Amino acid sequence: MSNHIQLKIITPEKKVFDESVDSVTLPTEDGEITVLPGHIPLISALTSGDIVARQDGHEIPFAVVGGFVEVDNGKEAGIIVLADFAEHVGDISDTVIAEAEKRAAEIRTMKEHATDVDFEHFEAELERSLTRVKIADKWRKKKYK
Amino acid sequence: MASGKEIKSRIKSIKNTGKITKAMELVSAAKMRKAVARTFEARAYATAAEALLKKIDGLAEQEKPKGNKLLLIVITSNKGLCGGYNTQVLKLAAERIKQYGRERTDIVSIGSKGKIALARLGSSLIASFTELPEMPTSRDVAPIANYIDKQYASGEYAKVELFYTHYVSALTQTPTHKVIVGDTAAVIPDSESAKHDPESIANVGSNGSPVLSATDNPRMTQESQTDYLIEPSQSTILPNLLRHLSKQRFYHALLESLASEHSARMVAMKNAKESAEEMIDELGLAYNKARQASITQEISEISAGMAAVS
Repeated sequence: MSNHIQLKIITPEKKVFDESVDSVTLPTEDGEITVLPGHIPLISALTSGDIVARQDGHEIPFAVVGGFVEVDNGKEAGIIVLADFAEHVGDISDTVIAEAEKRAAEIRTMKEHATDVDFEHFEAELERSLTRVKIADKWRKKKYK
Repeated sequence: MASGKEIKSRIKSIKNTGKITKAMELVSAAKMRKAVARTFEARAYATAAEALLKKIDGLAEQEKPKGNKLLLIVITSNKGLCGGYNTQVLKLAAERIKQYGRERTDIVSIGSKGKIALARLGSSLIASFTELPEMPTSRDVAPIANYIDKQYASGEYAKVELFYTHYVSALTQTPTHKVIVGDTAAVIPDSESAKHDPESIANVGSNGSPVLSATDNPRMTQESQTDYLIEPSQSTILPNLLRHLSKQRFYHALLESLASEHSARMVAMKNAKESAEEMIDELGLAYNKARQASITQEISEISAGMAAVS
């Protein structure tokens, strides 16, 4: 058995990542899990947090908000992450963080007068903004690829 | 024969029309590029979602819907002047309604062009959404997806089918149909007839484009069944997952349709521009002939007058 596993991170907007990695740590609803090559087939729901892929001793972090993960060990063995939103931590620059923080504050005030549908949407967006800030802060001092 | 002046004014008006269609072509081309880029980016997700849906199809212990009605969702454009774009997808929908029977089908129309045509088909149009922005996000799609969910949850419908236009290339768009929610095997006589009539139910993928075909064959899914460990638990995750994926499928179909609409319009406007140019050429010839004829006539009149005087 090979010691690598294909990891695909896909959002409705684009394919964020598609490479062979050593292991992946994912934030699922039941807590953080790490998937190694040869993992049994699994379907789980993701919460917001960070996905960390390890490749040749490097860590590759992604901020992720909601979605699902599927691990398959059949013909097309691999991990497919269908995320509502995902982004490489390196892509979250300081300006993006500042914007996200501002947006979060804006949404908080807007939320108070929103209707049901909008409320749901605002909540999702707030979650997204906050996760970006949180994950970017977490990885600020760490080394990653 | 029309006089020179008449022809001249016609040329002028055709030139103006040509200018307008040319401008519209350029606008559609720009919009098309954007829409197509978005569609292609989104295809990876759609393909992965489709594959995942196939795998878990058998796992989800869905309640069999009591009703036997069919809900059609037809995606058309809000604006006209886009060639056969709307007609083609409407034709496909009309055939399906005929197959299934008018009384047993209800329609949800997306886009104002389809609304008028679908209302004429005789089935009941239960909802119509026309307020979609030019570049819809998943937020704009949420109310429609929720509405469809609610309709299906009411138990009246055996399945929900989506009619949209699949973008193949700038020149080719295929009207496509797929089941987005509901048991595909529930209505046997009709899925049989669908298999005998491959023309009406266009399956994509024959032109080498990513296969996003309907999960039409329940047997196939059972063969490729893997035993999945599902966390936290099957009952909490699967309904959510199914709902989420069907919403994404709908969103993707909308993107495909938009890309198709803009390219259809671009091609239609290109044709219009070209035929305007052709007409201007022809009328230019006719104008020159008419001018020459009138000069000849004047000369002969003058020389005849001279002959009469001398």
